[in-house]
Amino acid sequence: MGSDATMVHASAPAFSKDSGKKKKNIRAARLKQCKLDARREQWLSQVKSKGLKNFTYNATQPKLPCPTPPPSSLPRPSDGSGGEWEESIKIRAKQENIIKLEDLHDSDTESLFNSPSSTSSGMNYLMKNCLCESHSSHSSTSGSGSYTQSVNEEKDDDGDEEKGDDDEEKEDDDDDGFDDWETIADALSNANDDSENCPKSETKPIPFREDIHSDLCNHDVLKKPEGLPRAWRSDDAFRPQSLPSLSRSKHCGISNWMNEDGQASLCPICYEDLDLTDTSFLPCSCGFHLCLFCHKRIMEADGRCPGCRKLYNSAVGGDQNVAITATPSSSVRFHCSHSINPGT
Amino acid sequence: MLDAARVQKELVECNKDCHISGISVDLHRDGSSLYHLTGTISGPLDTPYEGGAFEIDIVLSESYPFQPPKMQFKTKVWHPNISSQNGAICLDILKDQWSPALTLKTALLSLQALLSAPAPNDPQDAVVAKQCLNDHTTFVATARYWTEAFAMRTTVGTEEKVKKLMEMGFPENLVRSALENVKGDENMALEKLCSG
Repeated sequence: MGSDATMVHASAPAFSKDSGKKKKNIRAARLKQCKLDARREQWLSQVKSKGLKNFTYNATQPKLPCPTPPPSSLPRPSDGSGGEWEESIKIRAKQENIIKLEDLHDSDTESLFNSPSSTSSGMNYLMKNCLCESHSSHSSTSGSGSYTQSVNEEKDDDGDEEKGDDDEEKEDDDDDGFDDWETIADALSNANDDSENCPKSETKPIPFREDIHSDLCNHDVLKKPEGLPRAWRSDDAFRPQSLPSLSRSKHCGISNWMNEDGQASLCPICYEDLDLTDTSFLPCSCGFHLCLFCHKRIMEADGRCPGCRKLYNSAVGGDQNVAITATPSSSVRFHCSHSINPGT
Repeated sequence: MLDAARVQKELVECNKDCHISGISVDLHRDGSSLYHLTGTISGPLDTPYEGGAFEIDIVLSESYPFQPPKMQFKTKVWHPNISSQNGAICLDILKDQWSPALTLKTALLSLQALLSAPAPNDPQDAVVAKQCLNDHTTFVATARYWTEAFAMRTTVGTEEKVKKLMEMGFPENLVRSALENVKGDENMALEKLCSG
């Protein structure tokens, strides 16, 4: 599916939008053509061997939930039979996808790629394709933007009716090509800045783990509606599933641990927050918590514990108590970090 | 340096449930200093002080809460542990048994408890303590009379008193301040106006 898309984006968007920068882009894309052709041939041979009707259906099916009507210039396929006919149908379906996606896409993702929209439209499609792949292959995150939602619906339609070994293998193929798509995307973005560097960067395969990349894609796009950059909340619907789950820290969190003591969160003398050192500081055997500043102040004066009014110095084993209480706190901290790690 | 943050938090905390505890602390009406406060406690039920509102003058030192607040009854009280002359209080937590963990509210609660549980064996006012030990009925009656005379707030009729005193030829602002200082007692206000 991916290699078909390259053919399309190399031709259709280039003709639709003519600009100076686009020529450079086309040149870069042509350099890539040979490599892509080889992969396309390989992919098409696989597709033909696996029954074409499946794929015809899958490719044309997205038109049904698609809110944008297909362009009238593109004839709708009446029936699918014949190799070349099948291929053209698929390409048209792809083109419709592109148009639909671009319509929805132009306004909200331009800032994602720091390049003019005219030159990045092809690359945008690539990225969208990546999104499409990641959504289908992981079926994890809920769509945030309108177009990702529609992609999900399309994929659901596919999966409900025709999901089978063929589909899975197809997606596997897509995933294989997906690494190359990432390379292409990088190359094209480089071409926008400096067209001379493009071939070099293309020849370098950039190893990308698929799951990491899909996370990046999801993250970039899904973060968009949020507006302000901020941390994901654990119950956020847009939160990528692959982010480490830290919800367990709530159960063993330091704040919770402090609240169990009740009075330990505030110094009863100065009403300031007690930090960890203060909470583990227990100068008197009566168990009265106070911050180190207030303790110092009291020691400079009469030196009696505010809780029991006994002299601090006469409290038996006061230092011992400090040592004893400091140990559980450190063990709690270790416990916290230890329990978070398996989640990552 | 006074711990202003603590005092402010104490004021907020104390006035949060003043309708339940019957205890409130406000800045002294003279100024806006956190060093000088006025506490109010309601007389405990089933005591001769029931129904009264007793004002306590509170002065905080620089080292509060490491030093106890200076408290003194401004409302006249007939109580063996409170001076009937100047309202001085004999209570251990306001002296050597003070703890920084105590607050203005807990101190005022202790005063409220002191009203309901007099300790005539450790008196501040010897005359009252002697009466409390020897003639308890008279002590209760006197305490009740003092409560009704000095601690009952009669805001109703203040305007009448003001008008009455103004008819005697005193300016309104002086009349109002005099009445305020003597808790609305008309005769004492007149006395004050005549003397000064």
